[in-house]
Amino acid sequence: MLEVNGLCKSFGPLVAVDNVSFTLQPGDVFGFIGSNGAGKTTTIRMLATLLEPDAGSASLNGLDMRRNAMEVRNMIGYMPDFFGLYEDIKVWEYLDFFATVYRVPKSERPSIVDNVLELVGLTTKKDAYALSLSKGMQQRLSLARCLVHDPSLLLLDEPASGLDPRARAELKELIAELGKMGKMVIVSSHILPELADFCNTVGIIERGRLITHGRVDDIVRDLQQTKVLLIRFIDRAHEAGMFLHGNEHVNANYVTGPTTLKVDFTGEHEDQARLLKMLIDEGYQVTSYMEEAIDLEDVFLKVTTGAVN
Amino acid sequence: MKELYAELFTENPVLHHATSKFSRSLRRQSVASQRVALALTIIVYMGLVVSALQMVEFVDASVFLYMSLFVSILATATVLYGSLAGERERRSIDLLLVAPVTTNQIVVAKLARAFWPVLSIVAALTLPSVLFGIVRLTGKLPAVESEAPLVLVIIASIGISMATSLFVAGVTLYLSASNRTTSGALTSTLASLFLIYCFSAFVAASLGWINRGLSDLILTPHPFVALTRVVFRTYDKIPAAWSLVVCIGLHTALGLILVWMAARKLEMERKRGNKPSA
Repeated sequence: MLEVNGLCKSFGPLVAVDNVSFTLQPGDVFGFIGSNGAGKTTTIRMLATLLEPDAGSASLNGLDMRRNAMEVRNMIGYMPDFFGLYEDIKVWEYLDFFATVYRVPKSERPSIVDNVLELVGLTTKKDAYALSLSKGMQQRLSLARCLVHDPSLLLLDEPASGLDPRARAELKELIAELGKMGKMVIVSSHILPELADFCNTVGIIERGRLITHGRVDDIVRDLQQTKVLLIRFIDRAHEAGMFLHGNEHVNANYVTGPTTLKVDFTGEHEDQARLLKMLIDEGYQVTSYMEEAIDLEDVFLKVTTGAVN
Repeated sequence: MKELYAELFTENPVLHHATSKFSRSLRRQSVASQRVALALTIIVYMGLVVSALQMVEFVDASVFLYMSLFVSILATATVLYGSLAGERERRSIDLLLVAPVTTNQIVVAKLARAFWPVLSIVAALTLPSVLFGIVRLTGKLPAVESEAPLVLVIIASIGISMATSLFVAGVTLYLSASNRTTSGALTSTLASLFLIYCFSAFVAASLGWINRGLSDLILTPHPFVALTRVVFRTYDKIPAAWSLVVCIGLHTALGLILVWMAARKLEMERKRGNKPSA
């Protein structure tokens, strides 16, 4: 289990991370979302023991990350937002080197290298030079490197950046698979719809503060206290908006086109049905009436202000 | 002490991999063109040695010892200047710092990269001097005014070369750990070595006009001066043995301190880090 309590980090006057706390259980895939400069990378680097926090603590499987840094490093796989490949080194040599560094017994190294290469789909590239691989393959090799010592926590910083759609889809599948294997995975990314596909928990960070975190469904449910109704008419959408103004369950409404109206609605399903009846009774010709599903991108846009450090 | 030895050598995974990688890279020399290149180098080298031996009466054999010292300094700096700065430049340093290895282990593994090349250079360039001494059958180096026994001169020369290389390795590793780019590390290493070995000699020589004692004091640990004093026994007030001891001792001690400082520098980076770009 990963427990993060009140992590803080400043660089001079810049507060990069401010009192970040969250907990992860084995199998959790945690999507870490934030704008550029929000504090994602700094938080991940602190969890990777590459930065000492100014305050706060983090523990992995009961071991404090500061006091037991060496032991904790054995349980962490860190994939930065860059490759960090060596020249003149073959794929298997690269993995063998890191297996040695993580003290994997010599007799087990060849089979482990083969297994992780198979997991990331690079078996055929075993004898290729690491630098000759495509960006997507290098990214997969980087992920394979994180796995050679079978860590319980994976820290993946922008793993999908710069990848083509196919490579992104493959990486997404891989990360989901790692979650199923019982590993805790923290993934930071800007590509929010993709995170929603495989993350069961998310944290949204802005200006170093974790604004919200938890199960995706819980966050969506919390935000959907004011659900959005999308109503389409044959015409007179603007007039319908005026009509709904002042209704006890309507917080606000926005005409998004001559025939489309979005309504911030606080009522229950019965109130929703009543509203539709009212509109029809008033002679508005409704062509569609639906509750707009909120996605991770909407959550992000709703809870953040866009401010940066 | 036992724990430190184990940490740095017997239980250092980075070092183990570095040494096995060296042997693997030697095995890779099986490519035909590399074999030819190696054979040509050996032939040319042997040719040079044999021609020099034929001119044994006219050639000062000590030149090979100076070459050995000079080339080992350059080789150490060349092999190591990019060792840590290069890791930082290609951003692979984080991958090592996040691993369960100490910064001492990382730095010692880097230091080991220079060991074999420098040892090979010292051995290859010292060999002609040994041959000269053997051919003359006098047991002395055929150098002007040289009366020192050949064995002592060779041992002293190897000692000076290796101690100087350790010091140069320390300087280079420290500067490599302090620079963000390999070009920065190379420039600062060359500038530092110039200041340490050339500029200091120039200052000491200039001071000699005013105060000979002070000049001697500055020059005592200088490796080229120590080697000259050993080879030619031109010690004036300062005995050759003293110069040798000071040179080897000071270079070794400072070298080890600088290697330790390079490891500390990395440790600071691991703790404080640099402000990430995003």
